[in-house]
Amino acid sequence: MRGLTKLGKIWRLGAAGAVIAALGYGTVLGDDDLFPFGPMVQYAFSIPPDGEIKSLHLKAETVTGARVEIPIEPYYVGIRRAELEGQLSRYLAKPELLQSLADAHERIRPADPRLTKLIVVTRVITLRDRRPAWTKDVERVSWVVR
Amino acid sequence: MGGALERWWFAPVPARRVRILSVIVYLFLPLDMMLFTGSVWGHAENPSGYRPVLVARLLHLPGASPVLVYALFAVVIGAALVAAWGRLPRAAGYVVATGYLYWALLAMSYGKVDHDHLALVVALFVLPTAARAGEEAAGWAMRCVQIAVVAAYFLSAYAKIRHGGWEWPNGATFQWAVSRRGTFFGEFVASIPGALLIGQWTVLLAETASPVLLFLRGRALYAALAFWGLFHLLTWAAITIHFLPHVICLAAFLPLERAAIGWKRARGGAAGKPASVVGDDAVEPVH
Repeated sequence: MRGLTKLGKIWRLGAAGAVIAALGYGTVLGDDDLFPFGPMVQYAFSIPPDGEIKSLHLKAETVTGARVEIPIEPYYVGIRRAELEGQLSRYLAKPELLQSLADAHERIRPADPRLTKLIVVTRVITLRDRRPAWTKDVERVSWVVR
Repeated sequence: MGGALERWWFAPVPARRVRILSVIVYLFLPLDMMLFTGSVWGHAENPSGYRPVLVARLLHLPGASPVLVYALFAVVIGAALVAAWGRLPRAAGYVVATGYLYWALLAMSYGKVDHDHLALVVALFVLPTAARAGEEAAGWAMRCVQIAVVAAYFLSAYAKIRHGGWEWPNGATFQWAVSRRGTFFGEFVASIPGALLIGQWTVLLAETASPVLLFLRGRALYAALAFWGLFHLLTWAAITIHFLPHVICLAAFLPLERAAIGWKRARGGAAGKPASVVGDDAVEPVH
């Protein structure tokens, strides 16, 4: 069996210690910005048993006059729903950013009817005793496609 | 005490285990980059969405563009195939590690950060250090991957309480998950009274207890690994979140060297008896 030299062990322990320390710092004090050392925040939030579940949905009017719901997925509009949610305040302040979603949709799905208007809605599900009781959609921002 | 700690960090592991884990990890990368961090391909079309995370800002890394994304993909996959084949395990391995880290930074710099890649990134960086470096180096590399796997679980429990408060396990977070992305199976589970509540408690307690993985052996270890495998399977079935980049790293806990893969079978005793492989020169990695 071939062992490690003292130096080989020291740098390995040092590197492991530094990564563990960075992870510890990110977990206790950091946020997502510290990726890959940020806190493991998947599902790390509480929804009260009688609270609300909110999610963004994208509705659109097409050249055919139909009103459709477009999945907020990379293979429809180039971005993921969670990304749109993470940047919602930017979209609220600058609705013209929605133009890039329409452009991406046209490029990625050329066979689909072209979109003429995009409407971002928040779907609010109200819970009673941890179960969905009722649902409503609230319009957040819209954009007439150029 | 110093001696015990040193023995724990550098417990000898057959080089063949590192070799097999390397093949698993490197061959997984194309899948990951096409599917799980595949949002990078879409990011190339969305330059205005670039919100670089700290490391990307410090290094002044440019955002995704079609040319960059194709080039990075080609370099990482090319180097991964070379490393998986067993050639230039260090040089190719470090190219993969840094290139993939850039890819992961791009995936996480458009408004959403995922947390299923810690163990994979750690594995990519430690695997090259173990190439042809002996059994203590292999032991350290496997220990690092194991610690990364455990950290992902344990730090999740901490984050749930830090951000969600002590009311987390009694809340409706799992219903939130099912409502947003639940499958037929997820909706079915959610309809069973109390099932999601029990699930929340089970997950929080299991994540908190996860460091025992580092100290269990034999059947107890396999039972714990089976529990986590089942957890990830059920999570995938219910809300299509599979955590595969993390799940494959669970393999670092297994005596992979006993697997009869390739033409160099691990030699051992009669069926049912564990093969003695530590220090067995016959199971050196394929160079």
